[in-house]
Amino acid sequence: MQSNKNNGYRTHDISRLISSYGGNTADYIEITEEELIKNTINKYPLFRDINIAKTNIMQNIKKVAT
Amino acid sequence: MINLTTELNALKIPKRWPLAAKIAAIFISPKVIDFFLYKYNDLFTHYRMNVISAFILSLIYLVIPLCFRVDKIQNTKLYKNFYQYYPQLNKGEVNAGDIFRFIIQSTYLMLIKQNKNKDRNLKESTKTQLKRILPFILEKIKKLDQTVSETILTVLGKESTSPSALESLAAAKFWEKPLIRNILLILVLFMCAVFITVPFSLEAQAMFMSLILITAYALKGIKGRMPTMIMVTLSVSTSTRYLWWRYTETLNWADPVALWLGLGLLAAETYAWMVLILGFFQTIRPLNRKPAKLPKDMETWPCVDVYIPTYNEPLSVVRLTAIAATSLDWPKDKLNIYILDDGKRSEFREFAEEIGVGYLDRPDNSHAKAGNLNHAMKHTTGEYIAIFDCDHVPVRSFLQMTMGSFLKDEKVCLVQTPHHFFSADPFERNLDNFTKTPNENMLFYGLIQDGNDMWDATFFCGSCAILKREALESIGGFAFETVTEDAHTALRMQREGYKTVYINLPQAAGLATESLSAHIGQRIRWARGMAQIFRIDNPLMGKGLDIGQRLCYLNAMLHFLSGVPRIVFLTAPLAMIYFNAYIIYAPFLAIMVYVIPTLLQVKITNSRIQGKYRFSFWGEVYESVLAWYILKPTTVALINPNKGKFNVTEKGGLVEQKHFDWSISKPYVVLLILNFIGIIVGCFRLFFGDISQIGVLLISMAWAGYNLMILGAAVAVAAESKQVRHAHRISAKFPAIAKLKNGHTVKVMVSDFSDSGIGITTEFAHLFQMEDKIEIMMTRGYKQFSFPTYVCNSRNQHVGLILDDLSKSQSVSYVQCTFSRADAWIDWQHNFKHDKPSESFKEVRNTSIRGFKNLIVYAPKKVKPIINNIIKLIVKISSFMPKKPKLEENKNYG
Amino acid sequence: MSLKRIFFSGLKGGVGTSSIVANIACALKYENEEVFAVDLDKKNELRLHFGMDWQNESGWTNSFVDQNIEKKWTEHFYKDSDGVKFLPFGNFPKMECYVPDIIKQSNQLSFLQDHAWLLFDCPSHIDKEELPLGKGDVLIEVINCNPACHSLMNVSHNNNQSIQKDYEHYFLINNFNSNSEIEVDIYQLWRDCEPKLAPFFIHSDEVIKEALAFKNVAFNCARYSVVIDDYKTLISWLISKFND
Repeated sequence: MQSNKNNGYRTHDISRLISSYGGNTADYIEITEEELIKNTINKYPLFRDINIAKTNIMQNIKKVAT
Repeated sequence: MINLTTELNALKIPKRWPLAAKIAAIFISPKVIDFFLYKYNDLFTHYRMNVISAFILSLIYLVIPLCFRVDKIQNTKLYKNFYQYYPQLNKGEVNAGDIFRFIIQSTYLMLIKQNKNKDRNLKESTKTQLKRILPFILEKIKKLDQTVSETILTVLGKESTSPSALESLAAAKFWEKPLIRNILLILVLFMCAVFITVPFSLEAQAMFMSLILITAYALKGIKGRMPTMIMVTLSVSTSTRYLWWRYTETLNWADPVALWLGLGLLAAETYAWMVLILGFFQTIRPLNRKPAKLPKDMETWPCVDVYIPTYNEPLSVVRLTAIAATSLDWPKDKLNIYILDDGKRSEFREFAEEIGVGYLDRPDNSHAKAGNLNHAMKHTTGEYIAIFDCDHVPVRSFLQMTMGSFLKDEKVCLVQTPHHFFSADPFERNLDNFTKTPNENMLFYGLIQDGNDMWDATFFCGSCAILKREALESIGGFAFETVTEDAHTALRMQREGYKTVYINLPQAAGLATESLSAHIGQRIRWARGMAQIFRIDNPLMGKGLDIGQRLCYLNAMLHFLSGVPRIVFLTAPLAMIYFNAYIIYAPFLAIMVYVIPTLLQVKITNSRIQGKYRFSFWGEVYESVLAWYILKPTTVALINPNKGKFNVTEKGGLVEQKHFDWSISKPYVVLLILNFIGIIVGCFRLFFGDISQIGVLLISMAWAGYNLMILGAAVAVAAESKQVRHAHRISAKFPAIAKLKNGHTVKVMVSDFSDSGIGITTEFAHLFQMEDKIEIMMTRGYKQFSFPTYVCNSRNQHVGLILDDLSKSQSVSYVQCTFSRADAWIDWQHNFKHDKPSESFKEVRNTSIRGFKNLIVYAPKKVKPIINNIIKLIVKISSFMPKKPKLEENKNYG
Repeated sequence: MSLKRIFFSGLKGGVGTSSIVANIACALKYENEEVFAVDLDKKNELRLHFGMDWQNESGWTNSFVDQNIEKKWTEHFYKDSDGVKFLPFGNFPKMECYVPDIIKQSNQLSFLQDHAWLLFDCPSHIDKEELPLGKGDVLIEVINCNPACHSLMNVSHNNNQSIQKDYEHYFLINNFNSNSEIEVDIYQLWRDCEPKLAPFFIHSDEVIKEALAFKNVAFNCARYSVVIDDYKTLISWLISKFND
């Protein structure tokens, strides 16, 4: 059974465009909106707490590493 | 005295007969007369025929059995299907003149073999013997080529599935070698010089042209650049040869009228020749540039300002563009969007604030759009400026497809992309061939601009493009001295040594001009602008441009000067017919042998080069529509570039009612009438005039007939059909998910969308009931959005959905999932099959017939009776023409 | 042996793990692959998706004490109408402690051909660390887009941060409803900051629930549903993982 690259209904509009002229899909960068992520985290108090805790832990790990 | 009565009694003539019959009975047997009278009464009373018809038909009934074996005939197919073989004759009626119809149709039937219509295979059944000859020869040649190559291959021991000899020759690698190419070039040039100037006898010319035509046909099926080059070379040589012949042999110096008219025609033909040659030069090798890669590190990506200039367009049109601009795939901190509102409307300002884009207005409106853009430049700082007309909605990949070219070469000052329309332009709407025929725009954006790019002569088209601020500043901002400030700006930048780039990928789409008058107004503006540029800043002179660029600009300019030549072509045959002026002073045969093959050959070559973007004969129609209107502005602008004002093309106006635009179509109607009368006059002269002139007259009438067809099509466009909805439905083909009331999901395909609804296709359309609330889920990249809709119609496999009220963020997401899809417009060229000249001819002819019908339907009341009578006359005459019998198998109904 | 072992385990209960296992099994069988599904969850739910008789409570826990491993496995396999072979848990919940053994045994069975797929439906309450997963195995933790899962993901994240694993570990979103604002938000968030998230999700569709009531799997019941594509996408993605 072969891996099916064309995922049926999920055909990506960028892939279609880029294959129409023979380009490389990997060259296209889908922009993630960092603002939006931050807004989501701040929108929900639970997520805010989790984020803060995560950041602290990351900082602690970095401290341990150095 | 012989008692007449008793004599009659002896002859057994009934008393009740009319006198004429009684007299006839003296000579002819009463039985015969009896039969005749019986038949006559039958036809007259029962079938209600008129006297003459009844009389004639009775005679026929009488005479026929004497000559033919009626019983045998009754068994033949002819008898059974009589009325099928003679469609002009109506069952149960005999009209005066039917006998002639009968004779003409019988002659036709005897000469031309009829085949039954099987399976609607019309091509087979309509091939008449006469038409078979040329394809027959070609078939033989093809077979010969195949057999030769097959034998060679079998001798060499290779597979016989390789392409034919001609094809392999065409695709052979050694054409690529420069040495071979140069040798070929020199050979070709030499042959050209010989062929063009050496006078041929008529027979030689005929042979020469037939050879060329046969080559052209033979090369028709073979793809590749080499055959195209050959055909172009042949076209160049034949058309140059034709022109040489015209200049050297066909001017009648003796007759001043003919001379001046002839020179006029010659000038027009020279113009056409120049445009042809320049066109070949321009489009022989479209560059077809691919988008350049951007560096992986987004920090190096430059800052881009997006300008959306607007003046009086409604917000409903502009909001789409603005929303789509916000979803461009570009780092948010490097993207600034501005609505440049010359209309200074508060609702625009509020809208801009709502969706988070900039709003700029200025104290005055000087210099229209260019002034607007220049003002914006002072208040923004982006390194690059992207410009979208307020109705040109960009897709999300616009910047990533274009900015790479700037970063690759810092001399690049402009990246232009095609203008694609998701609505029908006046031609397509009024002629009902939207998506069936490439529209007028496509030749330019599909082929010509790509050809320009090869010569580094791409020019700015005012929208769907990005410009480098530095380059703009070096020329002092957007040019505003002409009404086509876009082309002029690009020209100035090119003079400064900057390069321009064209990426032939539609990355934005907008509204086409909505009415014929708006369309023509727009073209007038372009024509005037081009003429102004040529006067103010002539591309043929001055610094900074190389020869390729100059020639491309020249061609663009010439294109807009087509007014006069087109009118000349539309009226030239009338010179011969009305004034008996030999504008082409050559015998009939010479004209046949020079003109017609050259035209054919050129048409074939053009069809090959332009076939995907422009179907044959439509170019003439477009030109004819514009010819009268661009005459004056271009001439005025050439003489005095500063006269004339800038009229804005309207966007978003509705055609309220179906109507015929008489004011716009006046010129075509006048030309139409001139040509029509010309044909009638020509007919008269055929019968009553000088025999020696018949050949030339026939050619002139044929030309006038061709003109009639073109003008008829032009008139057809003027019948503005009603625009039903304002929200344009755009056809699409991308997947989506529908969630039904009961929580089940269904995979569907979106087949069309507008800003208020979606059309989907699915095998399971029966699951969608009217008024059902359906959730439609569409994706943008990896994000999935859900939109509330309800079903408004459902048939076959298609369901129409209307969007429920969307929240602000939902409206934005909706645009992102539909208009902004990166692949929204990539199918624009693929939907068209390649041009087929003969089919295109039929299309234009049918359109032209529509045009005539429109003229009649919409004719002013006073003229109608005259027209009706003329039509009756024409119909009567055409009823005598032989018709193809409708031989169909008996259809089973039910 | 190129036996492909995939362990599906919910991050928490009720996220729809069993439905995924059953549907994937069916989808694979549809592609003519040899599929074996094993229920390691004492709830013994998996068998119902395969249409097994509700009263029949036999499973591997019924005869675990048997010494012959082969026999143990071969005797208690059932086959559903599509041809998927599955091994129910049985009705001895206390035998849950032998789950790791069952997993170890699966590697030693000769009758499991090459190129077969072995799917495990693991309970959510078991500590994944305790499972004897090895190189070449894939662990998929099934999640829903809700705050509880978000919280749990970060908790387990903490625990697993520094531990190296042989097997591949992914998160898969099930029951995704794009009409829900918070689900879309959470998806966005995870997409950005959770590297182990599979790049697709299984949509929520009532037919999944309904199928179980009809003793069947959604894959068989609704050919037009988008979840069919979702399961197929999951399979393609799994194949690409195994090919790497």
